[in-house]
Amino acid sequence: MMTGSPAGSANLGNPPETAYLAGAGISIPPPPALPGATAFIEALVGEITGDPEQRRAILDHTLDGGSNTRFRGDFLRFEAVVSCIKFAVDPDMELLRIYSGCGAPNHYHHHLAQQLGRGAVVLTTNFDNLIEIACRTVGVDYSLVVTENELAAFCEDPAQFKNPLIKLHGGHDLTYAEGRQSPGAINVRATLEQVGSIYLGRGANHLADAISSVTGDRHLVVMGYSGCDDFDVMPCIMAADLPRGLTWIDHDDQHPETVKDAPPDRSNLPPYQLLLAHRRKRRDVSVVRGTTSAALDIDTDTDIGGESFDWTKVFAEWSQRHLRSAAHRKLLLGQILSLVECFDESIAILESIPPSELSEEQQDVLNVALCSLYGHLSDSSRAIRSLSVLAGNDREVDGVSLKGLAYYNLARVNTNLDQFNEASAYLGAALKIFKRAGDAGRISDCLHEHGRILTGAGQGERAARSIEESIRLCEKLGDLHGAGVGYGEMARALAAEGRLDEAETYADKAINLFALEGSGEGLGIAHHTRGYILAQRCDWAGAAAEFTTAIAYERSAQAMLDLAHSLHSLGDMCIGLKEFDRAERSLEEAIEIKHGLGDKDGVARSELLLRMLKQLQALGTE
Amino acid sequence: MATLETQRFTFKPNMGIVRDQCDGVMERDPATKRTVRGGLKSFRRAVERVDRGDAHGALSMFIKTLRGLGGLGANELEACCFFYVGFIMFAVGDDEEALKMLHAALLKTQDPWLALAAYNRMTLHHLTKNECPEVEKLADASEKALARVPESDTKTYYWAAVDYNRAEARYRRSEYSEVLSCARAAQGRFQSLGMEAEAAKSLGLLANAQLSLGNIEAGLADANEAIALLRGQGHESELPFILQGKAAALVQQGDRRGATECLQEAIAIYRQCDNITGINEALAAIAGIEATDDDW
Repeated sequence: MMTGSPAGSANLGNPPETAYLAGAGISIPPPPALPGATAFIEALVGEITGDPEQRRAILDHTLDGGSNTRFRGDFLRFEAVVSCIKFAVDPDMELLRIYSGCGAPNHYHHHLAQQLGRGAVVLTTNFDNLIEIACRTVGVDYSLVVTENELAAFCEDPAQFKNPLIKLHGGHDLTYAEGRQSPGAINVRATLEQVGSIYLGRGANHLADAISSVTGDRHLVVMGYSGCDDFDVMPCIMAADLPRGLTWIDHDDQHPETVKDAPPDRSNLPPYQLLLAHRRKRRDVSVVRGTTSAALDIDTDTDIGGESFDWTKVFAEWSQRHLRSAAHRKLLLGQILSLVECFDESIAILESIPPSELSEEQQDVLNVALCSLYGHLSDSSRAIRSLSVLAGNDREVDGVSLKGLAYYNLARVNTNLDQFNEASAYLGAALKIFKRAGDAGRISDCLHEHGRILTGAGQGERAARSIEESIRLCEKLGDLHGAGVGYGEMARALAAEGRLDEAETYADKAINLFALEGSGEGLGIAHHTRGYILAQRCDWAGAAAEFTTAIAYERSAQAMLDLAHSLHSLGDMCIGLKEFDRAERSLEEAIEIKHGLGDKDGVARSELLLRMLKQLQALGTE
Repeated sequence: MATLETQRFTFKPNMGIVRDQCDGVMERDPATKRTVRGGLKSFRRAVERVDRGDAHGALSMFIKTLRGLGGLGANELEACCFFYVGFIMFAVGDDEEALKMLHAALLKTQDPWLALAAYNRMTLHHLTKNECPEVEKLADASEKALARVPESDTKTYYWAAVDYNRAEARYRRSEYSEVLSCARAAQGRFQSLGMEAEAAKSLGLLANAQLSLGNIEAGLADANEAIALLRGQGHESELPFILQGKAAALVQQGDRRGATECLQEAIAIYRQCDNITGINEALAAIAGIEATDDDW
């Protein structure tokens, strides 16, 4: 519900006591008219595929996309897409020129420049340099805080930075106030690897310290920001004490009004979550819903000049350089389709690329991608056939051995088939290769796979030790996926040992990480694990609900082997709940899928359960 | 594993025995005569269809033949029908039904050759399924049947097959010392028939058993001879099993490079016939060589 109380600049304090956090929304109004994450992904997808099915598969997964709003963790992050671009076609992230190439600030940038000049602090998540340009236009000095060293120095002594402009996600082609240029990408946090290192990092978190330092003695005004980067800035704000309060401007077209209670349709959005969290602490936290310019009393009618910027032209130039051939476009498309878990299609596209049309480095990229993707195939024969070929490749890609990667994935496939001897042999060789290369990320992968083998072989305690070691490494490295898998495996190993409370904690941690990573396949497995734990507690209904959630994720990710396992488990729970029709449907589908995958033992297990169900049904009829 | 299968001694029913028995039955009364004569006719047609590769058509003819014969005493004709139906069932992948049919044939027949052919096919099934005790039982039964047939090449072939199958079953059960005499006997008998490829396969089995027993020098010599023989005869597809055994011995001798080369050759052969299990086993063995024990 809203009150009728108007909001205005008078409520927001004076500049020396105010800090502004500005997000991508402030650069959308012209002249910059820069794209938000979804607009950018739409343009990129339009460039790399003309196939409507492929376009839909990707765009449905964007935050604003259509079909996946029921589940957490289903959306395609901007950071994940940038990671793919960096890996496949643009290692130097020239892509960010779409933002940094714009030289025409709007009224919001000018307003922030003026506020800086009057003693405010400005924090921004943007990659454009429009606030700096506005500062230079209006003659305001500024101190850029971008690198880890600068962030650390700022936390140490904020006073040494005059008019600090803190670029929370890093920057590109920076110009410092004294005219010093810093070309290229600087401390960019817009990749999934960075998300992981921030979220899992146990070392110094200068970002959190900087935010905490700013909000310690200033009122924070949030503008043009969705709060959806739930891995770094948003958790810092949620965790900050905010003694001087916060005002969040939730931009829409209406006249601004202060919101007392979260509207039901928006209560899950970050500003309202913050509102609810801080109400309990009795802090001065409010949300103002309405036009940002009116809320902040910014005059948008005055002509400030500046030629309007057409980012699509810069994008087209970038595309001509980095996506110049069909092979390059396919390389990127294959990677992005794998992000939305269309693994079979992704493999088909990547396999269709003639290697001769790629540079040697990109051929390596292609092989690394295929190596990782084959491990996801439900068709284990195909996976073994393809990985065995890649295992003959002795090249290293960015310090990652292709052979080691192929061995590691062969181990995974063999563990899935309960062929633990073969899995152990592959894993031993992979570990040796990764140790020699000092590849800590892959060493941790091997350790949790070893844990999986030991769990499968019934050696729970040894498994837990191996997985624990792997988790420590993943956390240190910021490897989101690895840590998620490790938490899940730990949950399974502990549950097998009967340590259900600890197991449940790990399963929840796995769910949180996979949601952050956007891995439907991982979420499916993690919810299945949670279901398994609840089943051990004899909570059939709770377990059935978890298996149902797992099934939804696994169906969406086309993770057929996992889907069949979850359907079997759901059938099992439904028998306990006497929901015989539902049990029958689940088991029949599980059998059909297992038949298709050639999982004879699995078919036998599900058929046995189905026969038992039929006997129970017959007894019930009598 | 090089499970034995040969086309040279394909069983054909002894129609003399079948016809003699049918003649006796037909003398009973005109109705029986009509039925049995019809049965013989449809059986011949069914066999023609088998020869043409029309398994579906043959199956329905055999079933039609069997339907009229029940209880009349034309047991050998019935046994032949069951025998063929069993083979067709194996061919279409219904192993359970196939075994039932061959058992039914064995209950009806007095013909030791038909029994030997049935035992041989059943052995092949049980070896594929790794059901080694069943293989031993069938070998015992085969030996009893062999005692009832006169000396001939066919008899020598079945003896050799029994020896080889016993050796393979024992190898699968890791009873390596029990493999040696059987494998040697099989090798000798196959050689006497001029079946050099089968003899070389028996030698390969003998080599692998020797290597598993730690008789590395003798084992390697036999393995090299078997490999050379099979290569010379163009039977490369039989090599991986011996190469894998040789590789294991070379690892024990510290020759990791030689072992890896053997396994790589095995993988290349497995690739040609898209044998994924073979590729996986051999590549895992290479990985095992590359890994060191102290990694965990």
